[in-house]
Amino acid sequence: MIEPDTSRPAVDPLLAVRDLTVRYGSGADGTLAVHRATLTIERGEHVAIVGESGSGKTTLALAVAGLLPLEGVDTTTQSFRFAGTDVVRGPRHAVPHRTPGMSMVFQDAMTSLDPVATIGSQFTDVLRGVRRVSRREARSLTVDWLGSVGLHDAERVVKLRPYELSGGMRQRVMIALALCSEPKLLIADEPTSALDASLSRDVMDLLRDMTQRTGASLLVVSHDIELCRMYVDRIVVMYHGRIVDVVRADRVEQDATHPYTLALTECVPTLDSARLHRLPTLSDAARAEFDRISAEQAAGEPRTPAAARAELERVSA
Amino acid sequence: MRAFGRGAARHVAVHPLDLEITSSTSLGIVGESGSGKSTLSRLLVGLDQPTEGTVTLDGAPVAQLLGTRFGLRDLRRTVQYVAQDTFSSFDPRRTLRDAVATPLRVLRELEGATAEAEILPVLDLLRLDRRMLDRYPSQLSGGQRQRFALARSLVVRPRILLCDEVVSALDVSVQGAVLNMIRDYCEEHGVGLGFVSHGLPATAFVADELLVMCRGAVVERGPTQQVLDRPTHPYTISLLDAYRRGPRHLVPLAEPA
Repeated sequence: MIEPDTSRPAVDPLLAVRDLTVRYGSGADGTLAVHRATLTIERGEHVAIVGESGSGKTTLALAVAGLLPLEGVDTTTQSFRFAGTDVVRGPRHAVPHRTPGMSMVFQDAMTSLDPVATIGSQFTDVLRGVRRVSRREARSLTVDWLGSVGLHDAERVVKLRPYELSGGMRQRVMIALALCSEPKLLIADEPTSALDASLSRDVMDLLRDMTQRTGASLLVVSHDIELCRMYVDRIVVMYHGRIVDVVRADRVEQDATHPYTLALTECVPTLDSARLHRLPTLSDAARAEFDRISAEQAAGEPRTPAAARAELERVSA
Repeated sequence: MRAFGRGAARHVAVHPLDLEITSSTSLGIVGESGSGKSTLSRLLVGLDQPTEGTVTLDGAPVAQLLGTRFGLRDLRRTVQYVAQDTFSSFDPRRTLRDAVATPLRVLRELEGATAEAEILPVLDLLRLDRRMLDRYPSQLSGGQRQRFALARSLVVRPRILLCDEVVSALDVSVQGAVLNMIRDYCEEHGVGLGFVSHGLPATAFVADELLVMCRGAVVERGPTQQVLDRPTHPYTISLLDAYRRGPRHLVPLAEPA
């Protein structure tokens, strides 16, 4: 388990990244995937990055985790502090490769676990990479971890291989495996998008409970703002590579300062949609307007929730 | 019924069931992954054969139709299937024009300018830029590729459209547009719709009737609003609850032993 880090003042956030920019390719063919993103995560805080495909949300998470490929990707940042140390010193410096102290959970448990190794040996590899433990100790830690994510016949599960587990069990194994290295930040990339509603909520319940228990912070990347707002403290909204909003999860409607944030919440189909004649959609005109607003915002124009609401009504009219 | 494997390893993916789809049907098939809904839809279009029982099209067994060239053409002309994975359902080396024109040539014997005249209105309907026709599948976003997969099926003017998880991979803002389009198109053109998805809200929006599958069996079916308001099977109730409930604690918040 993680000991609370008492050597640092409580005001120092766990993660503070300023002006992170990621560009795929170079020159005229390059794509700006993330444009000057500034992100902080407090100790023990749960944060979600939401946005649609191509918004840069996964790229931002991978850049933070240090998992972007080293070649063909240009990543720069003004400053990058994690767990009390400057991971990146000085401006325009490459971000770290595999930031220590972070673990990642991916969308597809089937392809991210080793298909030929037993669950037990996958845990042993991770546990022995973190600290010196005997095989016997590793085995007993593994059983504890599997039990803590609700896999009650852990003694049996350690001997199995991923294909012998159900989808729900694999997700649990992957979450336990990510947490057993005792990370300070757990990053989950679209952990629920392949799952039905009840499994999605089980996975979110588990991510929240387990990170609360270990004291780790949680960063979830998702396209489902409605699901995230039930589980996290703050929501970071990305649109076309920019962070356009950072709102408290329980005050999305009241505090959103970009109309896109409000549009996102209205577009998610609900059970009541069955009674609707048409689902709300985003027109091309609305998207163009959102881009214009993002550009203004990036230039430093102050934004208010009232303006965001008025703009959304104007573009949906 | 469709079973895989033999003996102790035998697994029944779809238990025996009766189902009829006409050109006025709009049927939603929901269930979690592994519930047999995709196997069912593959059986309906003849991509897979039942272990027991038959699938018929206008009275003719699909297994027989598949055996003859004209039978296969009739089947494909009548029933179009849009698969979940658009990346593997397009030939990566052929342009989208080629992909959309092929079913027109093979199934409706239309080529050149006549084919083009069929394709363009469908692209407009799906809000796809016609310049994209000269691109390759890998040059499109997931949402655009999904709409091209729909376009490729709609140009055939099928009487029945079967969609397998067509919106699950799309962004919510694009989902709405595609769902509106599918519903309007099927209503206007009198096309029967089979809509398979694990997303209940989207399915409930497009379908008048719902069929809920769990572990290969149909556990509930009925008019959409009735299933939503008065579910009877525990699985349906838990699925609906999942959309309505907030967070809960799965594991007790105590230190592990």
